[in-house]
Amino acid sequence: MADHLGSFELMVLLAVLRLDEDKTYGVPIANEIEQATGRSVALASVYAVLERLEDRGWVSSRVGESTAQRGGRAKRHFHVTAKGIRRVREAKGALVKMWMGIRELQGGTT
Amino acid sequence: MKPTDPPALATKLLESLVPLRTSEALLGDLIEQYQSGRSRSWYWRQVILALVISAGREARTRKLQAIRALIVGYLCGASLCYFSTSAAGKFLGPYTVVGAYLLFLPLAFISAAISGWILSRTHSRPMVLVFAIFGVIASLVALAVYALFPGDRMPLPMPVVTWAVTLAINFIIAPLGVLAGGLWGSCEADDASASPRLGAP
Repeated sequence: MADHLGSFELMVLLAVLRLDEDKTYGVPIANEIEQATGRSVALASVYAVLERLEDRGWVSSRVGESTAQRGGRAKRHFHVTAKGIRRVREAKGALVKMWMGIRELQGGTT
Repeated sequence: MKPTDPPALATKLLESLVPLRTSEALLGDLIEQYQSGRSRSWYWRQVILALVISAGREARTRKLQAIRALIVGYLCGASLCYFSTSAAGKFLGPYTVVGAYLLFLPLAFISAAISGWILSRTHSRPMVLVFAIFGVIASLVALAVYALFPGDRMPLPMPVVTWAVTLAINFIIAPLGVLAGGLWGSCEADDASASPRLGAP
């Protein structure tokens, strides 16, 4: 199932797309998901997903700047590729199709 | 050490046993978060989680190498432990049960450390983690099988000392030994690869 997009993978892709270009590394991505879901997210699981997505060609990464606050270690910035954006659109289309026509889910916010 | 420094052992474990592709950026992020007020226990939790996730990923993506690492690690560790305890037993002569355990525990640690060292020098570094975690999982399964089907050789209940030693070896001494050996091997490999660079103009 190399082409399957799981819910956490979708969240990571959406978080990368939502963030400004200089903030698309591990910590802000995890914070973005934590704010949206209210659950704590392990940085290691964010990196595990990002690397899986990179292997599939849905995101690309570049090595960024290193600061003293990071122990001199470089940031790794991620970017959603055109293939990744296409995959997010497909996932959204499928979810919206599934959502439509369900009476119990109409009208409320929760 | 400054109080603001993150736990050095956790950093070293992540640096040495997780592929560079992940460890460099992840460590930077962890240090950044630690400097902004996260606790030492948070840092350790993140590192342990990263080690487990990395081992799982490596085992999934490099199945053949993982199987080979498990076979090599088990053969090295078990045979070293068996021969060293047998030899020590012959050398020391008859000893008490407690004496046997006191002898067995350090020898089990040393055997596990040597198997970890061999793995880190012959396989990719995350395979040390794969072996250590597989050992813990296999011990859990063996414990469950033993509890469900005790058999005739080791009837329940086992003596408390035997339980304590068995649990200590399977869940503490062996995994720590493998990780210590893995760290030792990876540090040696780093030194060896760094030496020519230091001497280079």
